[in-house]
Amino acid sequence: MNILEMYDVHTYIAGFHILEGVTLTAEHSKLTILLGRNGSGKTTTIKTIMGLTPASSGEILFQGKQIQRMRDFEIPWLGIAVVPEGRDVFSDLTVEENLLLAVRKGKKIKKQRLDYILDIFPPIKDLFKKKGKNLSGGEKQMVAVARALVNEDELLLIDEPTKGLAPIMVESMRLALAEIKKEATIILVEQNFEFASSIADHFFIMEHGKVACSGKIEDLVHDEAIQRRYLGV
Amino acid sequence: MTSQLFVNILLSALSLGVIYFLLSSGFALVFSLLRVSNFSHGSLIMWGAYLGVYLVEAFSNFTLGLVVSVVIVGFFLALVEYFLFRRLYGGNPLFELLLTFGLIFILDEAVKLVWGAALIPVNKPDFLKGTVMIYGEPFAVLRLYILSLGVVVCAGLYLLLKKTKLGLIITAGIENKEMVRALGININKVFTFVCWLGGFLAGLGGFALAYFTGLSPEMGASQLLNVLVIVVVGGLGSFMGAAIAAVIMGLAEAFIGFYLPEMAILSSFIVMFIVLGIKPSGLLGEV
Ligand SMILES: Nc1ncnc2c1ncn2[C@@H]1O[C@H](COP(=O)(O)OP(=O)(O)O)[C@@H](O)[C@H]1O
Ligand SMILES: [Mg+2]
Repeated sequence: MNILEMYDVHTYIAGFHILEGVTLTAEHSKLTILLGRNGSGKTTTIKTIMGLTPASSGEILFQGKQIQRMRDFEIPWLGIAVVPEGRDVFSDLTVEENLLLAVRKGKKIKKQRLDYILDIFPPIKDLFKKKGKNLSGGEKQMVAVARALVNEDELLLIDEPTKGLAPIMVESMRLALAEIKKEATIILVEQNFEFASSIADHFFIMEHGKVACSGKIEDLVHDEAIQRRYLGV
Repeated sequence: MTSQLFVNILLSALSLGVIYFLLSSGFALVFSLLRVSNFSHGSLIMWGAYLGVYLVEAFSNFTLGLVVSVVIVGFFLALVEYFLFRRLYGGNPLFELLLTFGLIFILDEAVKLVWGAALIPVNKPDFLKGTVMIYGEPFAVLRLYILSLGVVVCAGLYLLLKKTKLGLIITAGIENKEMVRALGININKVFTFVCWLGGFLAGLGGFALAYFTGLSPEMGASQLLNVLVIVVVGGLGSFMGAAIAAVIMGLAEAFIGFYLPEMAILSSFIVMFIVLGIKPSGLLGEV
């Protein structure tokens, strides 16, 4: 079953035609990866799903329901959370406040949910009272992913979580995503092919605002011609 | 200078600073979240003054007149946000300039239509007349009242911004509106609320001012200048900066006024000159 489907989605930003007919699907409970060179439209695809750069035509279906006409702030309520490329942890809020701001129902993070988050990212416990601006890059990334976990959303969109991280942080992020994958569907944008192939189930490679090819990750791992052509591996 | 005199000047300076804080905080709050320079802020201050004084007399009740007038001025700016500002976000800033200048003409002419163009002296209610002895020196009750009003408003704003979810949203929205929306928050509603709050604060500042200066149809324009100097000194976009700048302006005006009375009228420009000379972006301004 597909949790998310996009059919021939076009998006314009500031008059530029950025997505030129994206068609892709993400299977429930799987990790789908978006690959492709810089500027191929991966981030715009994520933002278009979230309604932040709305689609001008085409269809986006979440659990079979059309969402491409919904307002940006309505989309998370369907059960979709995003970890943006820039992390976007609020710098004047503490880590705790950053997490609280994401809580959609009720006032606090549920105890059992908080335990789950701290289980995945133990260092966050000691960062609670720290302001976003005082975090390191790796800490910000943890908080950004943790923030996407507070509501038990079914679909997580995670944009380049390893960008600029030290190798040891990349490895702990990989372990975290492997854990998160057990209970949520993930669409992951990733440049690091080794990282990507170690946890993904399906892949879509983007080029010039379109999907150039897709399939099961095992097939890509063995297809060096495609890797060379689209990824420059 | 005796220490009594010093304390007395200090208290006057602080009450002046509080008025400046009330006058400028609404502008700073609206600018920092919405990035709209609301040039009609001075006119809202004037409306707070005229309407407040009028309603206090109409109701024969100081507190009721105060509350109703500031709430109305708040609603006015909330409506302006909902029906007008909202159409301009992300567009050419020139349109905002034209819109808020247009509002100045409308609001200022409306004051003249309703209350006339002449200066109107304002009678203090009995409980604000007279002086109390503080540290062996007489101190005007009115100033004490303003000081406590400022403390209450400051505390209220602090609690709102730091201790409520709405405050978190405002702080977060000042930094990154897109991420706030990506968390499922309708920040447009928060914009409307912040404009209500901005109008409320302008009205409150104007109301307090009226009991010092009386009413004049020119007060909107002159207060706008004051407000702009304060927010520039504080650092455009920084709410805290504006609050600190307001208090510094009060201190400067009172102490310069004591030592160099002929320079008092220039005190805010002297402060601006010094602060911007050292830090061109203002006290807490970015970059
Ligand atoms: N605000 C914008 N204005 C103009 N072009 C943009 C804007 N945002 C993105 N683009 C362009 O859209 C293309 C796709 O960008 P993006 O989705 O960020 O790619 P990716 O995430 O795959 O690196 C790029 O060519 C980029 O230059
Ligand atoms: Mg990107």
